[in-house]
Amino acid sequence: MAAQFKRIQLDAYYSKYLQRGRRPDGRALDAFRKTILNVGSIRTADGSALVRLGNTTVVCGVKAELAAPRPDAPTKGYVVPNVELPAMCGPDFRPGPPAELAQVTSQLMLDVVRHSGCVSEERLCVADGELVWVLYCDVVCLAYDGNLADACVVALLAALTNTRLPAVTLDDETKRERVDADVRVPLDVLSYPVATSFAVVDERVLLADPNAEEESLATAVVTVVTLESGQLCIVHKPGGSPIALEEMERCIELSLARAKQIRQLEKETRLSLER
Amino acid sequence: MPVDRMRICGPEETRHPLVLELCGRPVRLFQDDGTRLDGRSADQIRPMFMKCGVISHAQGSAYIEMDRTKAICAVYGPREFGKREDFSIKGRLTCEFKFATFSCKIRRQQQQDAEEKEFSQILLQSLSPAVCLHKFPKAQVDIYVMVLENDGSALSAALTCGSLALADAGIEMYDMVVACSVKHYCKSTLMDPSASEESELEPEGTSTEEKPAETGLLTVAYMPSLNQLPGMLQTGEMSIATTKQVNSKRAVDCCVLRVLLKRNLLQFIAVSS
Repeated sequence: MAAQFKRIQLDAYYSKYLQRGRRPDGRALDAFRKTILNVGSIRTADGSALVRLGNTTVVCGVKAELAAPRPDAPTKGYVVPNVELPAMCGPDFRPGPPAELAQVTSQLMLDVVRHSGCVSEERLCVADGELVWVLYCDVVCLAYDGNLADACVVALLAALTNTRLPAVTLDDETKRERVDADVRVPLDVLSYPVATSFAVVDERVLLADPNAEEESLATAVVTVVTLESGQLCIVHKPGGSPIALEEMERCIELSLARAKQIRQLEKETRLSLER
Repeated sequence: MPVDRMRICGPEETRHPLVLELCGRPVRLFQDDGTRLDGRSADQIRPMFMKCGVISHAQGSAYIEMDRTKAICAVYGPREFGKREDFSIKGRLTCEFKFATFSCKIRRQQQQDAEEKEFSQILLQSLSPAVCLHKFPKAQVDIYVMVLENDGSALSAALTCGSLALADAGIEMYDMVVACSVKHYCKSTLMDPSASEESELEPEGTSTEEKPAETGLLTVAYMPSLNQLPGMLQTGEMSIATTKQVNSKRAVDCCVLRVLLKRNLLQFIAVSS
């Protein structure tokens, strides 16, 4: 009976739960799903991470290649993030060119990388004007159950922290690179941004870490990206129903608390790998 | 390469730092004590890990690890046809195979290239005979396989994973499909080759005055209960005698091993659900 009611009137079904301050999956309105992080399991990639946020599963692989820098930025390397939503991740996705959600999330990844300064493009330079590193950070969603942005940012940062680049020098005379594959230099990750997303349902109720069902009911989605220093990096609210300033402040508070948890998780994962 | 407007693009020309090394260094097949580079004997397959039900929204899904080779598969369906104008009294199966961009030593493109399209076709042709297509008329079942890390025998992993995902989805099948790869070089036959063993490089110590060495890769898909081969792919040079006698039998033997693993796994699922 409940299953049929849920199918026919999802919003009324949710309202009944939200009135009591709970969600159908048992979480409180500001609770996050269980997060699992696994780094360095893909050896063909220079750095990799797998994140499970509830049922949403994403894998990020970083591949480093060499290229000539842009003429207008001879000392800067490139960081190229891309999010892929293959048809396997959910019944609503089909094979073909990237869906809108994938493109939007890719752009968000690029903004996070650029504005948080997590990877310095100058440090990716091997030889001024001649040779720079290009870091292709490809995030593939294996299973989609809402909140893609958060999972992708965690995966991206964990993979970058896990990345080890081979030592490369440019021979001045022959202009050819000399690569020492046995020496691996860890990438310098200067800051650790964490994204937290919220969905606004019924035009008033704020749900942290929405799953796919809650996203389908949402009238607005807010993503807040914060840094270790407690500073705000990005606030992404692309239209949708308006929310009160107090609600926005609450989002930011919850984001800061969540960011601490995620950084702690990443640190523990990294230390367990080194042991 | 044309600019892809839907994705964030890097510079036009990039190259892997070790591209010269990867393509130039010859690979030794055997160590001094006669074992392969990873310590296995010629007949030994790698340890495997399989799990079903990894993607919650899919009807069926499976994940397989053959030592470092990792593949994941999702099955959706039976659902309605992509194009409504198509009509078929039998059900339809579609298959998409993709290497993740970071899965191989040299980064792959995000769009499907020719090799991936070929593998998709092979998957389709090898899995179709096992599925009871007449049980879901006017509907289609979509199989999506992605290889997350390729350390050799990616196609076999994909085939095995695909069949496991179909079974997890509850699609009626005549039989399971298991697959295995065999690499043949001169007189050595290696089961379940890793990426370095699969590569096209000449092992050291080859004499070029003798006739060129027989080197080839054979992938066999097998239906154990029916004792039939829905798919077989051979690349390289192998004499017919060699192919027939030695390799097929070995590949089939190996498949039987895999089947045991798979059956145990499915029994486990039946009990737990």
